[in-house]
Formats: sequence, C-alpha cells, structure tokens
Amino acid sequence: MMLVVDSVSVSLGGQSVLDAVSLEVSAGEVVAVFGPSGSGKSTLLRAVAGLVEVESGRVVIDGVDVTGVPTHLRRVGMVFQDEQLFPHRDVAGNVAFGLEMAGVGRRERESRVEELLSAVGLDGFGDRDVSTLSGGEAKRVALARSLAPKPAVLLADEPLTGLDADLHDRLAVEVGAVLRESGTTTLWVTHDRAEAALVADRSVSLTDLSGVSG
Amino acid sequence: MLGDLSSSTIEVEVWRRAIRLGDLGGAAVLSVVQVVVLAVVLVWTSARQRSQRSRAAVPLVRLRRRSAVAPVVAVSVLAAAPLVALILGSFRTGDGFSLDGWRAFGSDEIRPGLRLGLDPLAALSASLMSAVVATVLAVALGGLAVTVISVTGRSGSVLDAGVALPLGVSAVTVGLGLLITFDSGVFDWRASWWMVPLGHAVVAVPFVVRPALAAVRAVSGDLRSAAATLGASPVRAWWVTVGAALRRPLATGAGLAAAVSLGEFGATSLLSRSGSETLPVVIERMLARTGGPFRAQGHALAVVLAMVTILVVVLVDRWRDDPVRR
Repeated sequence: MMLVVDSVSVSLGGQSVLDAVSLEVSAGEVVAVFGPSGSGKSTLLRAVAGLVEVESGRVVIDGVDVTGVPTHLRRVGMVFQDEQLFPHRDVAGNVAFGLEMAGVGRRERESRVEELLSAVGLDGFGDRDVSTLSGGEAKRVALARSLAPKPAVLLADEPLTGLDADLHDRLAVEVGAVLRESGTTTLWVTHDRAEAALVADRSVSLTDLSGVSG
Repeated sequence: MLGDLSSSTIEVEVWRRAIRLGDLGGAAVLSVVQVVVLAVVLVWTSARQRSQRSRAAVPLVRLRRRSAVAPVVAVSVLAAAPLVALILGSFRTGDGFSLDGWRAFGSDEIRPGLRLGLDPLAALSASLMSAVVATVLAVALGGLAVTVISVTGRSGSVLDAGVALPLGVSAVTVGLGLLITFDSGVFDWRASWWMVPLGHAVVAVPFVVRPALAAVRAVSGDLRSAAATLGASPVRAWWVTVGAALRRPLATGAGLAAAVSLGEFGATSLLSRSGSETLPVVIERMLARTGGPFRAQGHALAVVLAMVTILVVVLVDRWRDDPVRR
C-alpha cells in the first residue's frame, strides 16, 4: 500500500469533522472519494498532507508512519480547488518550485518542466504570467506543478470545480490519463460522482469510510 | 496676481502665522497636506501603470479609461498648479521678472559681506542624505513590524494602530517627542545628525506599513500550504508567498518615505541644527526674510526640491516594477 489512512479522526474548532476514517490506496492507483460539500473531504486530504492536526489514528505513506511529520517532508503533492499558483512566478517558475525545493539542478529542472508542461498540453507556456491564464490552463499548471517533484501521493481537492461542463469533462479524461501515464498514486476528492467515475480507478463515498476499520 | 503667495507658498504663510500666534499645531496641517498631495500623485501614477498593464480586457479598460479622464485631469491640474506658481515665483523679484533668484541660487548674502547663515547647497545634500537614511530606517522598521505581524499571525491591531499613530499625530509633536526622549544623560542625542532622519522615519513608517500589511493579509493560508506540499519548510514557504508579496508594497513604501522625508517640515523644524538644515527649513527661512531676492531664491529652491521629489518618486516607481518577476 502506498497510502494507508488508519481510523483518522479530526476535530476543527471543537467539532468532529472526520470520525475514524480508514482508506487504503495501492501504488499507482487513482482513488476518488466523493461526498457532499461540508462532509469533510478537504479535511481528509489536509490530514494526509499534514495541514490539519490528526486527533487520533495514523497516516502511513509508502510504509512510513508520517502522522507526526511536517507537511514539507511528507512527499505529498496537492492540487487545490483554486489552484493557488504563486503570483510572483511565471508558469515555468511555478512548475519548477517543487524541484527547487528538492535541490534538483537547473538543467534537469528545465527539462523536467518542459516535459510536464508538454504532458498537460501546455507546450511553450513556460514564460507566461500566471495571471494571464484561462481557468483550464491554470488548473493544468497546478497539476504539472504538483507532479513535478514526483510525489509519493497526489492529493487532489476538487481540482476541476469551476470549469464549464464541456471543458470539465474533457479535462477529467485528460487528467486521468496523465495520472495513469505517470503512475501517480492519487487520492481525488469531489462532490461529483460522474467526475469520480471519469477520473478514478475506484471511487468510494466518504460516509462509507467512517467508523469501519481496514 | 497670478503666481502670488496665495497659491505658491501657502504652507509657509500658514506656518509663519501659526508660529506668530503661538499655535504650533498649525504646522502639522501643512505636512499632512503635502503628504496627501504626494500620496494622490503616487496612487495616480500606479493606477495609470496598472491600467496600462491589464490590456487583456479591452472593452472594460476602454470604458474605464474614458471615465478616468476627468479625475486624472483634475488631479494633474491640482498637482501641477503649485509647481507652476513656484516656477513663476522664482522669477519674480520686486516689481518685475528677473533671473536673480536663480543666479543667487547657492548663496546667502544679504549684501556683500553680510550673510544669512544658511547654505542652500549644503541643505540640498542634507535633504538627500536625510531622505536616504530615513527611507532605510522606515523600510527596516516598517518591514520588521509587518514581518512580526504576519509571522505571529496575530491580528496585530494594536501594532497596526501603533505604527499608524504618527499619521494622526502632528509631525511637530513627533519631533517634540523625540527631543524630549533623547534629552537626558547618556541618551542626550539631540545634537546627533540622525535625529532628523529618525524623525522623518517615524513620520514615514505608516506609509510603509499600511500597503505592506494589506498585501500580507491578501496572501491566503492555502498559498503557504501549497508551498509546503511542494517541499518548502515553513520559513521558505513564508518567504516565497508573503515575502514575495511584500516586495512591491515595500518598494512603494520606500518611495513614499523618501518623498515624505524630502518634504518634511514639521518635525524637522524642531530637530534640525543650525548648519545642517534641510531644504524645506532653508526655504522657510528665506521666505521669512522680507525683500525680493530671497523670496525669489526661496521659490527657486522650492522648485528644485519639488523636482528632486518628483524624480525620486518616478525612479522608485520605475524600479519597483523590475525586480518582482521571479
């Protein structure tokens, strides 16, 4: 198993958001978790990423218990619903960021950035200002940025929300292909069942994950 | 009466009257007016730049540009009128126009052998020096304050109000406060050269902190989270998100601080020592003298001061646009 979420509970502001949630994702698998908004999907991803404190339970990535490990050492990538691109960096600078943090040399960085931009269909976008990107382009850049440092687990938080229906479906298929091609272990959350079916190898409802062990 | 005192040197007139009536607070009004005018000019220039940069939304921008014409013209006239009046004033001596004010530019002779005890050229360099030191101080203090506010993540409203205080308090009060603070024992630094730039820095700090704080608060927590998931340690994550967002407003703040320092009169009039007066102080002394040549010369110096200030603002505005990408 690449990712094991073992009866994780999270409370935010005194309110229980996740109650003993368990989930396993094997290497290279794309798993979608769906549920209505406010059901704690985002919190599940944040717990895996270490962005919220876990009250009880364990998060295990690639055989290592990372429950107490800070976010930047967990080897997770995250695609946010509203992209969260760095406004002071161009497209290539955004995609290269994770590689810089990993200490990858300039030459290798540049070729990897090119490779990724090509994979998400954005050849030649490297020196574009991120504020000039369309909604779909920004989401592609966000995906390329998260994939660049080859994360052990990619966490996708409703990454296709806010696109028009046509583009949404096209991108869902495309992104699914990119994830499979790169063999990226992915935990994808969405409120949209159809999207889950389009992108993932397997989809589960968040409510089914709660309170059952294993 | 075109270009007469009523428009060109109104601040000096009001200040003198205030001094004569013993109302020191009046001087503060002048600094505020000055600062507000500078702020308006700066906001206008940066707004113009922004509208030039966002060419993507063509029809919207066109509409906005057309409706912006009237206020832009009005502000330009307001900003230019005193300057035009100053230039006219610098050529006016006695009953007619002459170049005497400019010819006497660097001198302080009342008549051969008798001097006013002021050195206009030294005052110019003292002003520039003060501006540099005050800008560095204001950006350092303001940057530190903003960093503390953003790192601790506390609302920082007390600190926010604290650094904004010099805005509400008159500059003369700031100068007086500094004089009282540094007047005893080992802390008797009233004669130190850095009292003037320190006073300027205190007055300028709000202009550094306000825009910077707004920029810091506009950075979402998720942006820092994004940096963290890409492998950035908390310090690195702060630096690439909040730090990057701070660069532009700090540069803007530096420009404002320099402009404030160059024009600052209220605190300076209390803090500056004879022999190291800044240009605004010398201008006031010159205009306080009756007699044509000094009046024209004072105007000439004021023109130079205005030009230097505009130059600084333009340079900073240019420069701050360069280093932000990447």
